[in-house]
Amino acid sequence: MPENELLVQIQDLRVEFDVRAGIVKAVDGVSFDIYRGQTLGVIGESGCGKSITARAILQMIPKPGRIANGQVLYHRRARGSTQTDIINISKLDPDGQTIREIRGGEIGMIFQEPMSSLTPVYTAGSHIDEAVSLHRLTPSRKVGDQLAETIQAHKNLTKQESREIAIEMLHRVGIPKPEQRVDSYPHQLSGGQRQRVMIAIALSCGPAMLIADEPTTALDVSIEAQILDIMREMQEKENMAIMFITHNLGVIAEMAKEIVVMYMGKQVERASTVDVFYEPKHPYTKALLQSIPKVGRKSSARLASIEGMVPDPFNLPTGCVFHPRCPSFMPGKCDKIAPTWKRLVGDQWVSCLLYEEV
Amino acid sequence: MAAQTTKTDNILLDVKGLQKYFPIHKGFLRKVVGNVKAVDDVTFYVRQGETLGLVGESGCGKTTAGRTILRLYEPTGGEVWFKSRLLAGGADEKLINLAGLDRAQMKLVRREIAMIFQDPINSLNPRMTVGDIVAEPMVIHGQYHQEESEAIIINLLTRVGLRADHLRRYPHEFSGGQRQRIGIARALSLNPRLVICDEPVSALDVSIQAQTLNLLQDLQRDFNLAYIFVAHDLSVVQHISDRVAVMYVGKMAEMADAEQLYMYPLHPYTEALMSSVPKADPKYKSERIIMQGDVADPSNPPSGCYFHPRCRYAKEICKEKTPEFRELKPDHFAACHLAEELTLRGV
Repeated sequence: MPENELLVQIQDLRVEFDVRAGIVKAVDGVSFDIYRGQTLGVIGESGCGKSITARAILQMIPKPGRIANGQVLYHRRARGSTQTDIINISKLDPDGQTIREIRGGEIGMIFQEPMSSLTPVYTAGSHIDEAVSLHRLTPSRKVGDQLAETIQAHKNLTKQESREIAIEMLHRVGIPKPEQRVDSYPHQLSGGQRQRVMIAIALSCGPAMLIADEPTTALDVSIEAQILDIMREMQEKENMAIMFITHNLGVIAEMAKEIVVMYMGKQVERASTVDVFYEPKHPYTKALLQSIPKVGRKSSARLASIEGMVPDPFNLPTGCVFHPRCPSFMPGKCDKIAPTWKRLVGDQWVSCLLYEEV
Repeated sequence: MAAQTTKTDNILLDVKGLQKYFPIHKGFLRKVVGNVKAVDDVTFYVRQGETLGLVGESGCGKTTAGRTILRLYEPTGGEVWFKSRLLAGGADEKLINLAGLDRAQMKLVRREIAMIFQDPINSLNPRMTVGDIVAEPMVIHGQYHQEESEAIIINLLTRVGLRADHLRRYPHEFSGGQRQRIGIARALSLNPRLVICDEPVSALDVSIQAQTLNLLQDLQRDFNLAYIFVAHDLSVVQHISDRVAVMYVGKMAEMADAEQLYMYPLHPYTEALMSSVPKADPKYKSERIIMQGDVADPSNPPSGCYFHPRCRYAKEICKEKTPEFRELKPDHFAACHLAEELTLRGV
């Protein structure tokens, strides 16, 4: 299979939230491509629009948000076939048949809080079943049932068959004693196990792409390491694309091939992971990299921190939105002119006036 | 801080064999059928003006240990020796076992040991102004004197990076990072000597996290504070700590100088934990040690060394005998039978 097969193209995506106090541009002109079998990382601080971008791909933007502009092109291909149809997801009805087939079935997702995304009244198995259909774990149902439901909904299998797949999936994500665990309820599992159930659910239908929104943020490093390994293994086996959203730079360095850096709904830089870490161009990317403590070498030095705070979304700065916090601020330029999205060298893109002739 | 110090120098807090069990009740008569050994034999010490990091996986008892020191939970056993000025009556200071104090004495000690909490939203009363929140410890301890205290509060607020005009505002008007600063100002209002920081930055964004860590370091230098820094982010802990203690299922695994512990661990659990930390370097080829299985259940721990079912070096003796937490090198403690034979890998 050729390496660079396009799976999802996001073009000039804009998502707006129309609230009483005004319009918030949660995502403001974001474009990137996701390829089969590769991992794209999206980093940025809370509120930068990274999760909303992911939700837009699945037409799952919470009210009162809406896609104001741009498109999400999904290169759909039936299993085993080479025929590719291009579907514009942003034009689909959010409750329609097509998007419901895609969600969970062809594009799986994992969210941050494993507890609240499982329904407490279902068991682990029923969760995976259901996840296949509803992408949520129900606490009052066995996880096994929930798993099996997902599988059933998307694959037209009998209850027994989907239960077997549920057990197999729990086994693959490293849940001990899956035959028993399939009958346990979410509260009987630890946080790491619940997150692994979520991954099992997301992967149970063999999706072409996995959207992982802060999948390991709430977990211990030991569990995090296990989960990252499972994701990579599955990616290799199924040639699955991953969109990995996080603010943990260590995790992104390990997982992603390419990185998009977002700030206040805009993409400020996009490049290969090695370039982002070794040759960051945008001052925000540089500042972000310097503000994290690194293990290993001990330095008594202070951390470089980004001064100030994320601006109020109703009252965005003029010009470049990062200028009030930027160490390379150029008075008279950055506060007046909005930078454009520009290609520098190779595949490194940046949005900063330092790299423009103005 | 100093490279060559012996244990007895400058000790501010000396915790010995601390235990905290939570009973499990069952049935109509609420009979006690077992105990969750949240903290089971915890031993560490903190020197004056230094930071001790306390790390471990969730459920290992690090938060409970912090709270039991302040007797927010009554300890089941063990001793907590604290060098108190107030209990010694002013200028003098002496080591006193907090576990044996009565309420009035304990109240005095609480002026010397403060706490910063993880959640900057729920740990502040939404109906109190910032000024009242920071003043509250002074009021409770009878240290509030109108004008003088207000000046102290304004000084504290500016010290933590807030402004005097924030005094009359309410917590909801602030961002997460600013709220954490309010919590820090409150913790410092009685001029403590030891601050227990329970995951103080884990709810914050990276850029705000860096600001807060820098602030904590500045305050430590200016007020000669000692910190117990409880956190699960190992890179943050290494950055801020002079020494680090690693806990596993209510027991101590290892304690040493931060760099020593990260570079030359003596306990297999520390080694595995360090290898799991994702490195922010895409060219780094990680060789993770994946620990099999989950953290042991503290109500039903394994025999011998609690870590043996997940330990890749485990031998017969590890199943049978509980290892002692012993000093293997100066100021470097570990609880492992095999510590002398193993050569472990650091980060």
